[in-house]
Amino acid sequence: MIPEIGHILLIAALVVSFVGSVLPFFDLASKKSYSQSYIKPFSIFLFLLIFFSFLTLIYSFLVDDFSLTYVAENSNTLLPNYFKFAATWGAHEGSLVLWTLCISLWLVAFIYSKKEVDNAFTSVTFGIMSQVIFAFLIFTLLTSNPFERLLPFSPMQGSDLNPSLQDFAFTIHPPLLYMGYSGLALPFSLAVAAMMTNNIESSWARTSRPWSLLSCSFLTLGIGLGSWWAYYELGWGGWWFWDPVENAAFVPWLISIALFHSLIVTEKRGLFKNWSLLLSILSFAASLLGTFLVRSGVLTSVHAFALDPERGLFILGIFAFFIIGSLVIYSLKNYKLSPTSIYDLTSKEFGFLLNNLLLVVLAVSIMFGTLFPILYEAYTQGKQVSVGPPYFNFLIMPFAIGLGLLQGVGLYLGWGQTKNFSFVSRVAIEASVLFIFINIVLYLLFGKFNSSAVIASLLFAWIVAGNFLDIIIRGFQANKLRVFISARLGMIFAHTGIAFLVLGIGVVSSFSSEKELILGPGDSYDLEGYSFKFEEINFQKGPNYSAQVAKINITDQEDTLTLISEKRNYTASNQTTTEAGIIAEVFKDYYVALGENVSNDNWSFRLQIKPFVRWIWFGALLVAIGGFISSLGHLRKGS
Amino acid sequence: MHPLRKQRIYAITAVLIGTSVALILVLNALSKNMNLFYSPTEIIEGVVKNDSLIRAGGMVKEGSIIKSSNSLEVSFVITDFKNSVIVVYEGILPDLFAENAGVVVQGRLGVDGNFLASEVLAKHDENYMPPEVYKILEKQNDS
Amino acid sequence: MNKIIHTVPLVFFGFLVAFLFFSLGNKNDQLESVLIDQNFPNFSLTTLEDANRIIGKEDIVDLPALVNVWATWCITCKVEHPFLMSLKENSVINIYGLNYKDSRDKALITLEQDGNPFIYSIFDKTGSLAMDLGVYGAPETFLIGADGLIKVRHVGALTPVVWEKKFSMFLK
Repeated sequence: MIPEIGHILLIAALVVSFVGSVLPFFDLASKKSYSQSYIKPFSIFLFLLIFFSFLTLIYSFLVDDFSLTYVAENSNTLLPNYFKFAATWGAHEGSLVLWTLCISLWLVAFIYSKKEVDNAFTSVTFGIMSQVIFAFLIFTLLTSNPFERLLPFSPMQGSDLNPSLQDFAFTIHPPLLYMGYSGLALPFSLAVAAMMTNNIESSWARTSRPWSLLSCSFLTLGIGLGSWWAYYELGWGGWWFWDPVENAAFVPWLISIALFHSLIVTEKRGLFKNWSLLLSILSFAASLLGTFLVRSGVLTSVHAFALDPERGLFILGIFAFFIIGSLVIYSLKNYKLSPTSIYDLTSKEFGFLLNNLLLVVLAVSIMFGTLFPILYEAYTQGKQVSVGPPYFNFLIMPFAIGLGLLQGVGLYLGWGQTKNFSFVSRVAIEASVLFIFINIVLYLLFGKFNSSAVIASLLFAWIVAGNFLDIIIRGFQANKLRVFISARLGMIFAHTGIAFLVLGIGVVSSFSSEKELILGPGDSYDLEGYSFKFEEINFQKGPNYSAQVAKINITDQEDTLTLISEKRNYTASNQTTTEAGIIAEVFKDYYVALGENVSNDNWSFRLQIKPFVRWIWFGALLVAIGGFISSLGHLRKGS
Repeated sequence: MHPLRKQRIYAITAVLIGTSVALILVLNALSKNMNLFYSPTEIIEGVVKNDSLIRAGGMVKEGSIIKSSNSLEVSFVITDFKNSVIVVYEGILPDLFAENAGVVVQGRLGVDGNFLASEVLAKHDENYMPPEVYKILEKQNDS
Repeated sequence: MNKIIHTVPLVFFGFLVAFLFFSLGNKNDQLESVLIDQNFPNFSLTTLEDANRIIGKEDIVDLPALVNVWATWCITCKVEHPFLMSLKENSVINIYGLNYKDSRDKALITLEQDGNPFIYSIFDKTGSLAMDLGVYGAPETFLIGADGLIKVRHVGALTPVVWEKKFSMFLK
């Protein structure tokens, strides 16, 4: 009964979104304005329909309603309630409802943030968002219905959630990521609405900027969380693998960053209209493409959802409709060369231009590397190839350096031209001091220098000097510290976050230590001056698994730390997983993964020391915080 | 020259230079880091030209896993049911590595015809066979 | 001139979409329909129930019939089990099991406890027959038509909806 209600609610949402999809355009054509009065109630109603539908799905999971195919395939009576709740979005069908719910939430937030909705621009935006919701709802209902019944053949027990997914971080990672992905539909809709209602002057940019930023912030959190999860769950100490699904999130992230920066220029100077329009379309395209890649089976990866070409075709159709559609509108527009302001090579505008370029080219290169295996296979009729991490790692360096350099000085460039270059010497001095300080610390910690770490520390120093230190110092001197900081608090957080991110990556890539070896009880190994001793190993039973639990003691001069690593065998599926033992400190992580029983009591281990690895996620967190501060600040001021 | 024109020239030059540099970087990175994938049959047939970093895959032949009892050396045989290749690896194997399961290895072909693996790759669902392996086995079925 | 530049993104994405569409089409062929309208592969294996009884392709009789790939380690198989039992109880279609990479004892106990929807199960310990069928996991279900050719292959649990959409039309 309840699932049927959920199903009906979704169908109702389909109808409502359909109406919402077409009405604004009728009005646009007939130049009437009556539809605008019901945009607000429409958005709320749509959201509530999808929300309650989603609730019925959650309910079905919590009560173990295995008569629903989706519940039976993704849950189990033994699963703790929290994971049953999260299993709702654990697989394809449920995750689509979550996606759609997120879009409808963005729509409500947008509509209610506007003081007045009685204009063509807002109503067309509403129309396009409704179209996106409609597209996803029809995709869900036709090919991926979570309310499909197994009746009357319901099993007594369900399947299970993959053990490696039964984890807190993994459960909040999808909602955050989907808020980010789906959020990009809003800048997209705003851009298309601007084109359709002849509003491509700067006001649409001012409206769009905080929403782009907010989506990007969610994406940052989602990606950061995914990386952190992969680190402790997969047992290899890696935190990024350039896996197609990771790239599918990273590319929209890069483009959304270019987008909101470009929107600054469009808003403040009326320039870069084409860039901003195209980036709005491109970021949503990247988001849809990412969704497509993950669910269609065209690319395979560690996290791909069920391989289903039929569904892939449907998503491709949605992609084609929105992206090709919006680009057709774009190419049909009349672009009169409106008087444009002049800017020279030292200007903020030029800096933002380079920023746009670097980010977009990087994003395209990453997408190219990700899609290359399919291209190659098609071109050579069957030859298979893989593009591994070295391609991406090699490529990202020059871009990171270019972007980092820009980030240090961006604040000081003037619109049109920079007249005052005094900042150069100031920032250079501040950066040098920081740089020397960091490298002394690094040398004390690791006893050697490494070119990647030096470059990373240079970027860190440069960015922190230009985005934090200098502001503090000047603020102090002018006795206006508070004003200086609060005016650009979001930017300070976000840019400083990037600095920490870069430094963390540079250090962990350069100074990590690793050793794979066999140890018997009582044996120890010295890694970078820390003694890792295999104390003992015991057999233990967990709720749905049995485990071999190894205890390792790590000693440096004074302290001893204890670490546990397990090898688990899940009874139902006979699957083996490794639980790594991790001790996190500010400057490093100790990381031990239990291998297998080599002989008698001897076990293989992978011992690692990962310096500064937490700085990566700390940096990501700062970036997200900065984005939230800035975007929510703009929204409060009113757009 | 009209300042607007100058500006456009700067902008276009920047875009052109940027894109060309990027293109060179990308193609360079790609050619160096593109790893071709070979089936055991292709390896036996001598299709692999040199000792570049490549990938190979197949099913792990039952009973072929030989593990050393005092080191991390392991050897096993991968097969596509027409031909087999011995793989030699030193290190901890992934949890999903098992006999009668698909596996992908990355490394180089040694002079003795054995595959010297630097990495052994396994996917995250034990039901799931690496697609590369699946495809080469399909090819065998057809021929 | 301006106009032409403005259509560049459109052209680019047009090609991208066409290309992805094409690769998907290819994928479609590869995964599920490779064996369609082919003969069921030859094999020589024991049955699960009797380690001394060796059977082959010719022992799959009374067509059309289903061949269902299952194992005790396959949890999703439990989800489709009630439906398979109902197909048997209502004499809708014959079902032969293909016990895939499993333990004989465990498998027999499971059938005893949960019910046996199969006429018998082929015991494919090493997965050799599964390999020939292109199977890469469980559950999977094949339908062998009245003419002896494979008509349908479904990856994943066999649910009433899937049965209705993909399989039911082959019953006469």
